[in-house]
Amino acid sequence: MKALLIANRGEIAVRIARAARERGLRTIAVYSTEDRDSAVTRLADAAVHIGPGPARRSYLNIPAIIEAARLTGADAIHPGCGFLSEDPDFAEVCAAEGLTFVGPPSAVMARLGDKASARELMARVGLPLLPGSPGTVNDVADAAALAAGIGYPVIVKASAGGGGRGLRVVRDARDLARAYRETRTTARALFGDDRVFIERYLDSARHVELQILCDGQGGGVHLGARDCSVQRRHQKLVEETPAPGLSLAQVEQMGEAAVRAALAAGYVGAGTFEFLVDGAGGWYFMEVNCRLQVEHPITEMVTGIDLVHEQLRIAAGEPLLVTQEGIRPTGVAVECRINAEDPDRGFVPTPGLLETFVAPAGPFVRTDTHVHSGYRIPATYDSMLAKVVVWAPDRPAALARMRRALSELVATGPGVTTTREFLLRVLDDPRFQGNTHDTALVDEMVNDRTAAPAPAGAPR
Amino acid sequence: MRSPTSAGIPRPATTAGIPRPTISAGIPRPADPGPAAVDELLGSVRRCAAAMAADTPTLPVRVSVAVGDLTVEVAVGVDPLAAVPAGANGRRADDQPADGRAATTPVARAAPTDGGSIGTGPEDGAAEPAAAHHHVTAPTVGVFYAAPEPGAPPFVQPGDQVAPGQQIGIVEAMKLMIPVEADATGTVVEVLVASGTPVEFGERLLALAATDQTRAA
Repeated sequence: MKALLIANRGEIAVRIARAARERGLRTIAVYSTEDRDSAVTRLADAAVHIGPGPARRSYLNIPAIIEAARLTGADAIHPGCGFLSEDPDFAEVCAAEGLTFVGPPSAVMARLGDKASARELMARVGLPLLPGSPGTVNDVADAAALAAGIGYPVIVKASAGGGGRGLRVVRDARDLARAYRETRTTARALFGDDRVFIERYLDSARHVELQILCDGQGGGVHLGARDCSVQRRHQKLVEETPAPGLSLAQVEQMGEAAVRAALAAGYVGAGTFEFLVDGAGGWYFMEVNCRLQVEHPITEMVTGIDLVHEQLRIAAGEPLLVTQEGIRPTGVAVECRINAEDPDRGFVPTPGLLETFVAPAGPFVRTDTHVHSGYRIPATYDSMLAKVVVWAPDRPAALARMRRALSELVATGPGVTTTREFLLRVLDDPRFQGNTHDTALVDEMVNDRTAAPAPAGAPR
Repeated sequence: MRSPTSAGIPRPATTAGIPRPTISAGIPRPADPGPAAVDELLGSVRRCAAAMAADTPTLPVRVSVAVGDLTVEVAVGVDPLAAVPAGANGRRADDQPADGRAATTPVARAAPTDGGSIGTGPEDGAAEPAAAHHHVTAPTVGVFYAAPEPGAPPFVQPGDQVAPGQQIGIVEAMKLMIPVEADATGTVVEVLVASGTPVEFGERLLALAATDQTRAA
């Protein structure tokens, strides 16, 4: 591997370019017309214009990306996260063109990316699952019978879904038929695939995920658990590692199971197994993400392992150097996502001119970003501006450090609001501080605010 | 895929002073013509465009020239690039005024200045006679839609009565459809932005003859 093309944009493209440059690889960025001034185009050794703003015509345009790789002599492609990162067709095209795809093989990705077939595979290798349909549910009568057997509430999920889209919670049997039909319609529109499955819905649960690395040569390790329970619209806002409230023994058990399942599936590279953990400590497999996760830096902070370096090493055919015994997570790391969104208006996106941006710094603070003062936040892509990551020896110190870091962050412009203030409120929330929160925290905070607005600036 | 060298908009190849190769995928990179050749070419294009402007009732708002394989684009009507108001983008603000009449090109300088319908920037209120109108503005940067779906009748039309909270359009940003609501009672005078047009934060979308000056909170 000598030259790496990064088929992505934003902060993740910058993050990958940095690792590639550290490894001495020639680095090639691709960009849409809207991103022609983006940070990664300046960091990379070459930058290729692959199309106009809309992602379908640029970052999802496989022929343009392959052509860019050919023109620049790239021999490997890193898909980042989002866009083509979990598209088995893209992985297959790369392989057919003789380009190393940094990620699992196409067939593995196809099997794990389909939620229904992933569930079946995980059940076979002994991962605990929530009660649910064995495969996809093909008509409304089957759906009703299954839901009655599982017990309400249930969740109807698109098999091809992801990113918190294409799912619906049903609390009453009378609502099932409509939810079933609507989810199928939405799934067809969003993913071009209307297969759905049904499983028990947990009202109170924590979202916990295990980071794994497999070298494709029989080696596999896990790098501990991340808790990502602070979410809005099923999308994460705050992540931390280790998962508070889980014992070391439990994390070991989950990690061992995840590695065993990954090896059984023929997984190669960095991946994430997502679980739901209920109030009694029971844990259930949810899905596999066949890519680098947005929140990967917190795992890097506690383990000292650069996950993108590892991805590139594995893609180059090298075996894992780390052993499970050699991975000794230290301290606590927390990530907060700074999004251009207005929490007071249901987190609607607020693109526009970012007049002033000042990133936090100082000891044990890492900011991954692609933005700067004067940056124009496009309305075409996602709303994330920056990830602020901190490390400290323990959780209270990490939360205090994050509060200090967010207080240094400035992100302002006409019409631009960010999640900064909301994140500060999360850090101050007694449920979050006391580790009694679950995935409903953000909704509860929004409702609390609507019901009884707290006096502005009141000290706590 | 082609990035034309637009008159008034410099190539982005050397932003922040760090030169780097810029390649358009799928298109062989032409040998760089010398500056004299570019000047000669631009001169010819200017003369042609000026001649064309004299013959047609509508003025060109943008002229783009790509030198390799020679492409000339002449945009007539409202230029989407010009919907970006001054100050919204440092580079464009320096080089192209918000009103869409690219004053840095000799073609546009020769143009008469009666093209009031071209510019719809938020600061472009001088040409509007009714200063008393209330304006509903864009809640965010995005793409404005006047109707709930393609082919459907628009939310409102001139002459309609609207009340605070009534939906008058949609701005799409980051794959979300954000409803735009009236914030005053009144009669719609004009929908100022064509459906499907990119808009800026605060850009005027709708002119209302307000019957009630009290606005919704």
